[in-house]
Amino acid sequence: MMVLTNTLCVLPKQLRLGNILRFISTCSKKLNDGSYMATERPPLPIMTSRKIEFPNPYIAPKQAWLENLDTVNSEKLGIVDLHPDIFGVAPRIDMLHRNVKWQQLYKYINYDWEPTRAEVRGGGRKMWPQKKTGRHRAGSNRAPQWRGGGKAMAERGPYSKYYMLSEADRINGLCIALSVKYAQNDLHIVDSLEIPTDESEYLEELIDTRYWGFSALFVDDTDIMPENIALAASDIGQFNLMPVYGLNVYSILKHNTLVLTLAAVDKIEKKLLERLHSPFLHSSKKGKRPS
Amino acid sequence: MSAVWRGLTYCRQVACRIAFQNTTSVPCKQLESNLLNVQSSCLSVTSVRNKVYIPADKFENPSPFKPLGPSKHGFNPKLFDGGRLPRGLAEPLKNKKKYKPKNRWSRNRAMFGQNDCIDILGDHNIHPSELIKSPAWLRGFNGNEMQRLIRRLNTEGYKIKQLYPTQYHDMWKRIMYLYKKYNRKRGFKHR
Repeated sequence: MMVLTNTLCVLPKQLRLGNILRFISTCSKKLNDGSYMATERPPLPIMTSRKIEFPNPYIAPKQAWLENLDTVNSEKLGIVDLHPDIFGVAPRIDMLHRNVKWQQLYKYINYDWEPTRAEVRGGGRKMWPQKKTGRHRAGSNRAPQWRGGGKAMAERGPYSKYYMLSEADRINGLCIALSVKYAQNDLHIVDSLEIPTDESEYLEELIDTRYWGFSALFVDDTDIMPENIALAASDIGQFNLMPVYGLNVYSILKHNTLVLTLAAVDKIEKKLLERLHSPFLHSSKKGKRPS
Repeated sequence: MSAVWRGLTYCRQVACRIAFQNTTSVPCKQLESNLLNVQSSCLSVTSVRNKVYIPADKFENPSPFKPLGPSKHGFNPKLFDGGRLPRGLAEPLKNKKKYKPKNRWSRNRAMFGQNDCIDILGDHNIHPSELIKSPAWLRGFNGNEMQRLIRRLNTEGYKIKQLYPTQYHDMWKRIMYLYKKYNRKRGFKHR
């Protein structure tokens, strides 16, 4: 087994494990009696370990099953090693809250606008003399207490609540969200997102039989998704597809189950570890865009 | 309604008194139910304001010292006495808005937050602040009203001046006003 994995690491990118599995799983077909033909697979387990960059010398790697999506019932294809600094972080809920709050606020734009007494037309004339009328001292009929007058202390124009959470916090938030999903058994790693049909019933049945909860987020490393799963998930609001670059704390927490492909795991780990071990991580403290 | 209950109470007391005097083999409760044919759920309603009702099962026999008939006979309280809420309306309220839950998994809500970490997980060539849907002069900018106005004038002031001269005038007027306000008063700068 070790020999197999070692050779695969040496192979060029087109012949990597994920791509081979993707090709194989496209072979599954629907039979006349409604069931799905079992796919041809290499002898199981496909893999029992995974090469981890920047290994933590003090914590053993976390392990997860490698599953499939081309049958309704889950088949355990192998075991995947996950980096403990990304999938095994202490669950800091305050950090999750900080991330979610930032996501809601940084792109919030309020378009409410009310004119002031200076901007309402008219109102230059004194309504009645200052004295001897017995009425109040009115100087303008556009004062805020008048009907048709301006508004005092109003919402002024489009304003944003933009602020940038520090990059360290956002990376930490992503790691914590992934760790929380892993610890709660809501993180599933699959070989590919290929499913045999484009019917949404198949996806619903799969998620029901595997007890994956109400909603699921499928993440792949590319933004061009397999046609079948894209069509199957398009009818159902709670089953969503996302590329790795779209992944965020809010979506991870909103969906009950997070389904990552093996390629997506590779990419997430690579991107996060690259940032965690970068000497420039804390240089831009506010996470601002380098000019 | 309270008049009905009072009448029922009266009848029940009379019935119980007769049953007690006769000391027949039929139990009081059974006789009572036979005479009045009243459901037990109806009898559970208690009047708070005028205490005229004693539950049927509280005493085996009614007190001989209690005067016969309802207290305050002939007094019309004129207030609704049927419970805590105005129940018993023939039709439900028409002006009440129907509860309509939002679809929490509509396309926008389901994918809320997508690409917020694109500078970390992407190819480092794009920043989430560039993807905010807003006027260009407000994108990735958080300032007070004067700063916003100045920024807007800097970016599209020439256009506003030609197309909407009144608005241009008002904006400048507002900037001058706010400049004085922020520098001479306290507590407005960060609004």
